[in-house]
Amino acid sequence: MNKYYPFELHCHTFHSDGEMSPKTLVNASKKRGYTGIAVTDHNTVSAVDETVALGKECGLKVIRGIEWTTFFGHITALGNNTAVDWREIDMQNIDAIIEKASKAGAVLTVAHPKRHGSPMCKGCYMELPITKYQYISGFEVWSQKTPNREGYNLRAIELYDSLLCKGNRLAAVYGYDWHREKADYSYAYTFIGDKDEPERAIKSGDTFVSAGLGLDVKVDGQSLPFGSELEAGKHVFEITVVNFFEDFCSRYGVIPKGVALKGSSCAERVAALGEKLTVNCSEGYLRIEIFGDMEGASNLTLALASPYYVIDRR
Amino acid sequence: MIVLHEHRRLTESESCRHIYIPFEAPCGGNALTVKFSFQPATLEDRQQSLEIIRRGMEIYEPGIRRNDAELEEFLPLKNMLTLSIDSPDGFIGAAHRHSVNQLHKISAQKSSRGFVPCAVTKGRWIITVSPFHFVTPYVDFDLEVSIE
Ligand SMILES: [Zn+2]
Ligand SMILES: [Zn+2]
Repeated sequence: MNKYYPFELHCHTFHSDGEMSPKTLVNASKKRGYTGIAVTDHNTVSAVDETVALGKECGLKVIRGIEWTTFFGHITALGNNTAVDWREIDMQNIDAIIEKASKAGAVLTVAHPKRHGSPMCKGCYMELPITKYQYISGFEVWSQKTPNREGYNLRAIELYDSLLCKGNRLAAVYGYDWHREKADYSYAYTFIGDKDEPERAIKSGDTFVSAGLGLDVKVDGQSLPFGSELEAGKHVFEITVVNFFEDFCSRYGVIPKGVALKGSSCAERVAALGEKLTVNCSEGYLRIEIFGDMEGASNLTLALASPYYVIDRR
Repeated sequence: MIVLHEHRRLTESESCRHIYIPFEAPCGGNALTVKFSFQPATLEDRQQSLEIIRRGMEIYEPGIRRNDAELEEFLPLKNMLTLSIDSPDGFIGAAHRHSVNQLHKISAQKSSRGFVPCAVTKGRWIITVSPFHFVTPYVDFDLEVSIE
């Protein structure tokens, strides 16, 4: 079984418009059980050094980040994000910008692409005409609290699928867009397959978003990291969920009901948890969702995994 | 010593554009202080505000009709100008927040929230004002930079 670690990849401090000091953010993150976080203040990295140092003291992995907050869209840039000045980003040069940043080592994620933009939140609705998605690693399919109940996230997932259909490879991530310690709460996480080098795992697509459930997927009897390639042809999938946090399911009334297979590689399919599914995969992508009930609402997506990419070499 | 004092009225045509205001620091110093304020803070006209919100919502949630009470949750509409600072060596940070009265201090030991510590050296500095939210016909800002 592959091990996955809960991260929060989108956090603000009082260095931009958040309310938390780096210390408050680190303590609150430990309390919530995150293995790590990314500090992604709007257009500044001035909180990063302090947050990284505080994280080291208490065993919280802190990823260096920034949220390029432009008039036309928001992008989080993790790792080495110094090659780009956010003020130079515009509607004309976005492809050149992401190419430059990615080549310099930044791991880029499209943030909350379908949230309400101006006058509610300038740039929160993505208008930047990105075409070179090979330089983007992550895609926020879920944003903010109660992410599996928001219309803007359903529209984000539609866009995600249309980009995957075109052959792009993008990791599914969640961004709480955490600004306040107390008023904000969230039951969702980005689970990442590498706790020491999470940026690398995001780049390779080894992630899933989830309302607290852990996921275990076996393909032909073997654990296979998300984002991996599969040969075209018949494969057997065995998908089970694990209660990652003690009490989590009872606290939020989470009841997983079944599995859905989606993507361009096979016809959409629904199955019971743990059932062995034989799927004839053609070239394209295939991704897994867990659906079920929570907090009294039924038929919600409880987890959504980054795709497997099926290659036909015949 | 005051090294820059700028008062400007921005009109809507300047929204979504960065306004670069360079200035020369004739000497180095222990600290650079930036006083920045703007007004008005909000759009007072309720009907006009709801109309702007409704127009936005038609883009973000196509096909969903919302009544005034639902749109009111987004009131009041606020102006927001983000201020960035460049030292002679480049970008040192930004204050991206909804505050109409701001005071920022930059020094080699410690800088205000949003800016990394930076020695105050002689040379060409730049203040950038970026109008993020521009909901009134104009916004007036006042900017004063001093070195001590
Ligand atoms: Zn954002
Ligand atoms: Zn954010």
